[in-house]
Amino acid sequence: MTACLLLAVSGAQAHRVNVFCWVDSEEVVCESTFAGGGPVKSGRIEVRAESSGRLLLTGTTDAKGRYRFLPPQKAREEAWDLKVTSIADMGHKGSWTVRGGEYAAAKRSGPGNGETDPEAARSGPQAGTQMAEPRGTGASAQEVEQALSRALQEELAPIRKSLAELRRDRISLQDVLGGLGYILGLTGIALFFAAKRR
Amino acid sequence: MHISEGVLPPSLLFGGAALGLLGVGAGLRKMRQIEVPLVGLLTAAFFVASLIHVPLGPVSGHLVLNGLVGLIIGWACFPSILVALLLQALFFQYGGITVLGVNTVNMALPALLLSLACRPLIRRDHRLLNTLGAFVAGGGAVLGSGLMVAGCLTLAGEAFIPAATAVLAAHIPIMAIEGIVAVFAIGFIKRVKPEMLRISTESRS
Repeated sequence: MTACLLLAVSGAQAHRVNVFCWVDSEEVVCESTFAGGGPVKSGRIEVRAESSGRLLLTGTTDAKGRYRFLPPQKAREEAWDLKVTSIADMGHKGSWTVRGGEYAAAKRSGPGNGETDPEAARSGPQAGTQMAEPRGTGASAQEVEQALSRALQEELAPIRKSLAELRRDRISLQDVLGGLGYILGLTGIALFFAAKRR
Repeated sequence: MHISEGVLPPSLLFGGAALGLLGVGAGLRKMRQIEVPLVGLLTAAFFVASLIHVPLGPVSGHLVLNGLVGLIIGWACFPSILVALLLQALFFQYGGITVLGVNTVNMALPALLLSLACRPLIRRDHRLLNTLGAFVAGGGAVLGSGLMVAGCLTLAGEAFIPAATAVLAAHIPIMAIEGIVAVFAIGFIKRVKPEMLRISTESRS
């Protein structure tokens, strides 16, 4: 029983939820992690239009902390900025804004229509673009474009990953020393006033 | 333990801030000049403790150390924890500015109550009672804070039992570790610098 409880909350102890989203063909992939490492497993995801605050989509993250969604038709047409909020247990949450220009500009590649599918999300960012069979010679301009965008997606995947890593704030030594410096200063101020009070 | 921004309703944030302000005021009034450096030292300890991650099986939490802070400096734990939480919010983005009051009360109130209850045990010249007092105050403060966090989340609309089990299950190992840390810290202080405990325990009430 206790073991179940412990498992249920595994990785959910650090404090801050980091969300990073990137555009994969027309879909948006969001990865939520806790500061200090672990993915936010089965955390609640809310997608809202940034301007109106209207709730567009909700979902849950998979075991890797990922959630993949296709922005609604209207959002794509009008290039809304989307605010993705990831809510973990114990009152922890974090958010990320996907600029409308990022996904609205992305040309749809691959024939698959991106219905939000948690199974597909589990196998990483490349899974969304489906591999079309090569169809002999004399590729049309459209086919070349599709192949190109597919190849680009694959090439860019590692870069996106390292970008996500970079965005994940780590606490630096400067932060710690800075904080200790403030405490020292405040102690000094407190001593000053305590001495004056006498 | 740190509740994030935007989770709690405004009424709760104001309530927490008001309660926190009362505690901080009382703490500052009761703090004597001779205690100030000690309060600063424990503030620094609390500030840094959250960076010490304790990986234990599937759970990895970090130290809170509110019990120890309360045990040594008593009422002054309110201003101390407020400052440490403010700096954690600014530097590490733990918690947040609007939830500062609630988080301060959540962490300082159980620490203060347990410290008032356990100090008589620690003042005694009895090894076993000292150990017991330090362990209960150190571990119990984490338990109390966990319950208060769960309570706040309940008021914000979550069901109490799941919220509480999640918070507590995550903190069971932390409680044990904090209890042990407090036992060693108090044991060490009693041996090396017993007047450190006397200063704060004899502060006017």
